[in-house]
Amino acid sequence: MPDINLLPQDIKPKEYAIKISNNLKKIAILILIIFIVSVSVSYAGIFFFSQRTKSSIKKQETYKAEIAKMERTEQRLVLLKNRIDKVDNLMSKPNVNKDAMFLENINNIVNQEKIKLPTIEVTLTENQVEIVSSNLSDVNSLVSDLLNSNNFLNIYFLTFGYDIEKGYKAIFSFPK
Amino acid sequence: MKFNTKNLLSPDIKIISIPIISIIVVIIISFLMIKPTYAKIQKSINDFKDSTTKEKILGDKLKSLKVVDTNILDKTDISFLALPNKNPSAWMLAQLKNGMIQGNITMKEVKLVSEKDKDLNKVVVTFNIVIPELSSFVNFLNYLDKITPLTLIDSYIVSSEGEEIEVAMNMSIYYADLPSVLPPITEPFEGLSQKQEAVLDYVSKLNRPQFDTLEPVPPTERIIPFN
Repeated sequence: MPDINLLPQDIKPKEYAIKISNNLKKIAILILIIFIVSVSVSYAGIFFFSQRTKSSIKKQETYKAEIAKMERTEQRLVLLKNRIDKVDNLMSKPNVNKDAMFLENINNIVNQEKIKLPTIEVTLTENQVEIVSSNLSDVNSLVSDLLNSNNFLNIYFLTFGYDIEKGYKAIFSFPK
Repeated sequence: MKFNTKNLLSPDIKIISIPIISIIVVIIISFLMIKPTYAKIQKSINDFKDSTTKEKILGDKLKSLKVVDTNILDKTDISFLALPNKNPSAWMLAQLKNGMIQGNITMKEVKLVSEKDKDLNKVVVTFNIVIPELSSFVNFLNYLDKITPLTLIDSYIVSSEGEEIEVAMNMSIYYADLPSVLPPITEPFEGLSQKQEAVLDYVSKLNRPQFDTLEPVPPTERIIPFN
C-alpha cells in the first residue's frame, strides 16, 4: 500500500532545508562530542593531579616525621654553620695577628748590640720602628740591610736626627 | 481574526533552527565553562608542582641529614669555644696567663671593656706586659694567633727603656648570640661548603683554654677539739 501524506504540501520543509538541517545536526553532534570529551579529559586531569598531590603530601608527612626525629642533628649543624659563618666574618676583619713575622724580621735584621730599638709600633695601617745608635755607620748598614732583606714591601725613612746623649735617632715606616 | 500559520516560522527555518540553536547552546556552555575549568586545571597542576617541589626538598634534606659526618658534629664544641655565646673574658684571661707563663712574660696591667660590634659582641682587652726579649714576644704573638676564643690583635707598641722591654697591646675578643629558631622544615638544607669546612678545620686546630677541674674529695675526719 503506498504512503499517503495527508499533510498540506506548504508545511512540508523543502529538500535543501532538510539537507542543511541534517548537516547541522551532524555538526551539532560533533561539537557535543568534542565538548563532552574535553570536559571529561579536563576533570580526569584535575582528578589525576589532585590524587598525585595527595600522595605527595602523604610522602611529605612521612619525611617531616623522619626529619623531626633527626632534629638534634639538624640543630647541631645549624648552630655549627652559624658559628662557622660568624668566625669566617671575624677572620676577615683587619688585624695584626700575622705581624709577628714583621717583628721577627726586624729582630733578625737589627743587631741589637749596636742599635737600640726604643719603639716598635704595629697598627692596622702601618708599622713604625724607631732606632737609636751611637754610630752612624751602623745606621747606614741597617738601612742597606733593610733594603736588601726583601721582607718589606715599602720602607719610608721618616725622620733622622742626632741627640748628644743618645746618638743618631731614626724612624722608619712600613706602610701596609 | 483568522490565525495565519504562514506568519509563523516557515518549516524550512524551523528544521534548520533546531540544530543551530543546539550548536549555539553547546558553544555558550563551553565558553562559560572554559574559564573556571582552566583555572581548576591550572590550580591542580600548580598544587602538584608545589607539592612535588616540597617533597623533593624534604627528601633531599632527609638524605643530607642521614649522611651528616659525625666527625663534623663533634667539632661543634670547638666552634663554640672559638666564638662563644657568652662573654669569654675569663677564658681569655686563662689563655693569656698560660701564654705568659710559657714566654716568661709579666702582666703589668689589664683592662677589659665590652662593646657592641654589628651582630657580634666585642670585648676590647688592653694590657701592658713586660717581656724578657723580643723573640719571646714574637712567640707570644704566634701563641695568641692560635688560641680560642678567637683573638684579633688591633695594635701594639713595643718600647724599651734601659733593660726593660714593655709592650702595650690592644686586642679584641668576640662572642655572639646563638640562633634562637631552626629554619623552617621545608627550607632546603645544605651541608657544609668547602669554605666552611676549611674554616672549621682551621678552628679545630686552635688551642682550647685549660679549665681547672676540681676533683671530688671525700670528707676529712674532723678532730673533736674537746678530747
